Amino acid sequence: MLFNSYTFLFAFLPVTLIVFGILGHFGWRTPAFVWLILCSMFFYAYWSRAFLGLLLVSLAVNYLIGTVWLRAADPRLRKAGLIAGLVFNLGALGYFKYAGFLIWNFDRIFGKSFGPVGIVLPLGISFFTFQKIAYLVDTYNGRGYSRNFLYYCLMVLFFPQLIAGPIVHPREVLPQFARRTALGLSAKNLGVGLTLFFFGLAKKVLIADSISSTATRVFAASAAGISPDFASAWLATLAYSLQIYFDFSGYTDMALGLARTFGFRLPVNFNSPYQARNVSDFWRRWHITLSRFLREYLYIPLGGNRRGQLRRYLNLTITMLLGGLWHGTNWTFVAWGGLHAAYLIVHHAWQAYNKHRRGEARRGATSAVWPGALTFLSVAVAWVFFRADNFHAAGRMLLGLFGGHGFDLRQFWIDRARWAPIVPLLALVFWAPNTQKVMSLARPALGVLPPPPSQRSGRLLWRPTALWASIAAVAAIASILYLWRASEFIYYQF
Amino acid sequence: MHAQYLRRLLSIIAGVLLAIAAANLLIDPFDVYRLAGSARYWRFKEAIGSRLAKAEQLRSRRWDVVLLGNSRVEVGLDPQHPGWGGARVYNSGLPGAIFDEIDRAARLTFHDHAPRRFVLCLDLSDFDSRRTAPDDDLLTRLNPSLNPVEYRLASLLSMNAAEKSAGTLKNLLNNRPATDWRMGQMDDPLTTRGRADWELVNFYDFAGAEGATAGLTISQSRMRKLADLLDDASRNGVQVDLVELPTHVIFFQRLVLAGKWDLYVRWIADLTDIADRHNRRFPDNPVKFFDFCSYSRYTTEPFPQLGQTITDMRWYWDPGHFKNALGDLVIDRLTGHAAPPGEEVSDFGVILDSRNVGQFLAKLLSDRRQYLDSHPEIRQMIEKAQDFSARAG
Repeated sequence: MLFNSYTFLFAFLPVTLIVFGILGHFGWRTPAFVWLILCSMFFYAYWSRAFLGLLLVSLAVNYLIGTVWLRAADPRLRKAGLIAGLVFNLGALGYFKYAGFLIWNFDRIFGKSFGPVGIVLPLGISFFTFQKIAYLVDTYNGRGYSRNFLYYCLMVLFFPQLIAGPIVHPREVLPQFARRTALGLSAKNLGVGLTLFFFGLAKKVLIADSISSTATRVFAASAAGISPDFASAWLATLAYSLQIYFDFSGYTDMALGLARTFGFRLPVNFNSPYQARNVSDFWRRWHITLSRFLREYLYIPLGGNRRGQLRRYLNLTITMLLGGLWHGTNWTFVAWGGLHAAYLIVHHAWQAYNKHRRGEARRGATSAVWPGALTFLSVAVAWVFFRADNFHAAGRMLLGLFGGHGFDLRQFWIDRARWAPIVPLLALVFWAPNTQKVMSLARPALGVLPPPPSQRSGRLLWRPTALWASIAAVAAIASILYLWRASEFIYYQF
Repeated sequence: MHAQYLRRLLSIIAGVLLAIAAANLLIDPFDVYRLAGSARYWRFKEAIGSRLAKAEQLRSRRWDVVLLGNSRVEVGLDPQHPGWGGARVYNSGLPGAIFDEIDRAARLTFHDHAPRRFVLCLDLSDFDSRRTAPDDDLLTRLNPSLNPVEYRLASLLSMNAAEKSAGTLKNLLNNRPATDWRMGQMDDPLTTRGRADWELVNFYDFAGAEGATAGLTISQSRMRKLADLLDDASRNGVQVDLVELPTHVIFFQRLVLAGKWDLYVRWIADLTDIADRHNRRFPDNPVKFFDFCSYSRYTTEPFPQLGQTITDMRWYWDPGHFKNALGDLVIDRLTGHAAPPGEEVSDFGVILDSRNVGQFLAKLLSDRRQYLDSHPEIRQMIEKAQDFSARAG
């Protein structure tokens, strides 16, 4: 079920909330948790009943490994348990996500056809696999997570984060479930949660879906063999950069808002990534929970930056290449990850050079504008690999971006209607505060801190006032009126 | 404070959405709900010719005759022609349709009240395996996996519905019917499209677009679907006329240029075979297969020269889309209605079966060669059209 569907908004969500509220009101904690788990299972099964079975089997196996095997006294047994758990989770991910890709590559390399591979990718598998790996690794490392089966089930199945994250860490939600405070609905949680949800819905439906055709038109033409001119290539690249940001951060706002309506806080996933001053900064702001997972469970175990510069660069490259492959089964995603690895290496090398040349004192003295602009353009160019169907299409787009198909600037004027929304949206992502900052007084998500007292009088800060109720209501109404043309979230395919 | 905020937020949203939903329910711009009274105003409904509304009309209203096909049907066949003898006729032509959609449209009529007759108009392009249904279909009852809850709520709460409701309300207040559509037929494509040069551009564009035909292959699954549809129609007591509507003969030239003449001939033979096999299974409800494409004064009308800014063709908007004047002759032939004085339709619209199809196709080939020999300007025209298309982009 999609968050941006009438069924979700007018049937699933109200029923789930009302029954949860009633159960919580009477202090029936276990039935309230069971209800949320059942609703989450229904939410998933609405897409595919068959894959709900897979999800539940994976859930049970990981729970058994985590609560029995990984808590054994013998360290060798515990290590075997961890390996078994990793093999199980990565094996399932590998089969469902990468078997087809592997066979396709075999076909290409050996010139044989093993026939079409009809494996359907279970929705959200990339996300819930990572979450369970985090659970197993942390348990192995001795983090004493609750053994409560209901809490564990809810952590995995909780519908706001089930399909496309944020990749919730057990340490972030299990303590919230176990807290002995009252469950149920409160006006504050509902007000804050629904407001954030509607802001996210507006980002997805009114912005991302509106500009998607601008990007699709040129990328599709490029895939069909047409070489885009300079203006068209930039229009499509910028449109896609905005589309993917508003689509995914809109989804995340919805997820965070939904969790908050039930009284839970999920971790923040975006923090104005296009305002980043360098690529490292970008990865601290974009898909934060994925970056965190890759850092904690891949980059640092590989050695991180503790074994010299060269090894650091190698670790970065491995992490980013695998991060790229995580997104999709196409070499273009690997290229996207590789390009970001290159950006990061250049950035770290440049930093090291500057540090050596100028000394610590000069750091941060440069203007934020040019590094920010360079970072955004680098990220935007990398999105070409992420969006293009294949390397030929990406190559044509890149040639267009750099003037390889001519600089006919008249096309800017011809496409002025398509540029019209792009320019203000760019201004918005470069300079405006994001939804988390706007709502920071209410601390809508984990990792969002209220502004310092001196800045709490800002007009752009959400408060439970009539004006903000009207703004949120307008966002909700406008989004609902355009739901009929709404599409799936980009990250659902991963 | 938070409770008040929540009350305000929810009451604004609920109030506005309920008002919009109530307006859309009462005005019902796509004819989805058909509350008492709303049917009386259907001629004022702006979106009554949309795919969404057409699918609703097919599914829920009672028709005696349903005209099925693509935009050629929508533009050219008049549901209020006297030949129908006062029967309730609906033109369900869907622009850009492929046969899967036409099949689905026909089957929608089985839902409540099967009509007495289908006029099932088929084009080679309907069976082009490269073509897919337009995206509009996903939001209509033509989509077999349509989510009915989402569909119903979208017709109450979407901006699309709200805009069409506003337009309908404006028509009602001005007492001005939505004139673009008559029982599903688009009244005047030239006016509707709002382009003075529509005829000329499309004539040359169509004639020169051999690229659109070059990679064409026939979808056998769609051909099987056609056979199944004929059988199911008979089981539902529906009489079917299969029709290949008239096309200007330069269409054949385009096929020859693209190397697809044999494919066309085979397609006609296959259609005849499907009709014959059906007739053996259902002798009490046989299908008639009318072909209006053969060389006649109606398909060989002189066409405008490139550079003419005003076209004045009697029968055609472009080589594929014919005007009501020619559509009326088709209907005269189908219904046995007397043609206007000076027009002769007994040879126009050959009924094909396995006995005469070979002879028909052989004559088509010889007519084509003869026509080309006697009209050397055709080659010149095709070349000009190719050049025109290339320059147009």
